[in-house]
Amino acid sequence: MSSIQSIATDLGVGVGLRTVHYGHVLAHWPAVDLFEVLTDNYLDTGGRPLHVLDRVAARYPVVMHGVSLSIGSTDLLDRAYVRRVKALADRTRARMVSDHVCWTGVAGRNLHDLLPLPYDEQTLAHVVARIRIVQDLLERPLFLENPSTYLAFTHSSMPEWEFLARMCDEADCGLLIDVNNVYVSSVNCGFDPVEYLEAVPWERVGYFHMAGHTDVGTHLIDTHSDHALPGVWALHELATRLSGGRTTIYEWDADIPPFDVLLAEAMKARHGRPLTDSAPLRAEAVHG
Amino acid sequence: MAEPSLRQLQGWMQAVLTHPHCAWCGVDSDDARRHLDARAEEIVLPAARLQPVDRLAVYAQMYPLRMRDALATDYPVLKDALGAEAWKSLVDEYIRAYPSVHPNLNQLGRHLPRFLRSLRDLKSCAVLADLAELELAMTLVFDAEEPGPFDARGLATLRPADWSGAVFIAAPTLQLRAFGYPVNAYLQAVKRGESVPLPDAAPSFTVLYRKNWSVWRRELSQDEYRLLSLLVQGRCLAKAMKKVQRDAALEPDELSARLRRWSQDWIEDGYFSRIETS
Repeated sequence: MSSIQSIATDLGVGVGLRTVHYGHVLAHWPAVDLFEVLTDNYLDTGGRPLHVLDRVAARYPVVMHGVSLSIGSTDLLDRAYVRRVKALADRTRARMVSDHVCWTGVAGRNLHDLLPLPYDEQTLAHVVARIRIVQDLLERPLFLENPSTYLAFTHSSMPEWEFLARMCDEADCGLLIDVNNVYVSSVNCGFDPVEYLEAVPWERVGYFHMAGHTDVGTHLIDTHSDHALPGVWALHELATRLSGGRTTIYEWDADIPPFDVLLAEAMKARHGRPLTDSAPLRAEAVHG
Repeated sequence: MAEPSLRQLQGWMQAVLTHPHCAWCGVDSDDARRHLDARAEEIVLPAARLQPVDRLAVYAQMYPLRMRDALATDYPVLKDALGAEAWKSLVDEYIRAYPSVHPNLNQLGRHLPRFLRSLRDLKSCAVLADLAELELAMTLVFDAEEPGPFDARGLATLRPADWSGAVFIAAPTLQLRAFGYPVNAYLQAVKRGESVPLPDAAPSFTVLYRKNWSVWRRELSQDEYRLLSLLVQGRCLAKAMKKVQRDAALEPDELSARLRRWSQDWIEDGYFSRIETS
């Protein structure tokens, strides 16, 4: 299996491929470095989505991003699902395969949400053991994304960044750092996003996510429905500096704009943005 | 309280988040207590502006919204026919009866037609179930494996005497449906933007197929539907024609003439992936 370091090269700036943009992409083959595709949208179809994916993967590097691995669930690992992910990764020659540090359901049910895990020794051992199985089945490293969270558990015994660092070390897996999630969770859970990023094991990081979020007054929601705020771009710049540069993917999933608007937003990652007073690294404690 | 196991915690949280009324009710529910007898503040930390149960409610409120969005994608005309309130009630009942058990959210609606048929007290449940059946068939055709081009080699070498034993192998992108209501015409009218009432009972027959990656629908006569159904089931052409001729009381020449017309559409539109002869 290839090492994380050999895979986590800077592929440039890309966007999440969404159905509404299929026509534009196939007609114009836009100048974007790579696409991220939502794994689960292509696992159970032999129709147009898979046909489009094949054409896109023939022209661009592709990374795959899933939402249903449920690495933290206490249900049995769905090995059949992992094998289907591997088949798709082989078909698209995916540069990286990612999912989330979360659980999505138990007792056979799937809530299709990225539910939070308590960060303690019990969870760490459970997740590490499952990552090892998944990586063996995938025959490639797995990159796991820090989730956006709306709650924290009373019996968590370590901060999220420590959990992620230990998880990567013990499971020998990779990380996908969603910079917007760091921002959202820092506001919702009251931690310092700079302290978070300074503790990330950068040699494990495959790529970054950027996205917009929504402030609903009492908390932030990771809606992927807008431009990223200056404060989130400032964190991206810090992450770029700390990591030495990584692939960045911009995700836009609700109120999706024309492709050119999405691309222009994503390309802010290429040009970089200066840190200014209007782009505070630490989210203001409007929410505590 | 003692630290819960991860299994207990996840069972408890799932019970809270999927409670049909709210997270507050979920915390007090027997279902949650079966996993963990705990108050929200024993499990979840407060935030500056949210109490522990409010933080659980953030997830709980998103759960039904996500399910409704997913089903609305597959059943837009059914949703339109029901109206917003009835649609919300239907989805909430449906996900209690058939919660998602598949990694792919797109599979959530596979039981909706069956569920609608079971709702005897829902007004117009029979026509709504037919409409759901039609929309489900559209998603099945959309997602079916691509059959590849029609294999005409068998056709080219077919002698006239072989035709009677010919077996038509259906493409995976073909679906046939018989309805008690003319739901395809209704769906077509809605898609044209017309405001039409739900139709009265009348038999209708629809074939759905995929061509150039798009899903197509065509109304069938009862005879064409019967013949296609028998062929899709694997009956050879001679036996299928004999049965249709007998059931419909048609003259043999009349059915043969119709078959020549129909089969052109069948081949051109990719209903079948190949023809086999014994």
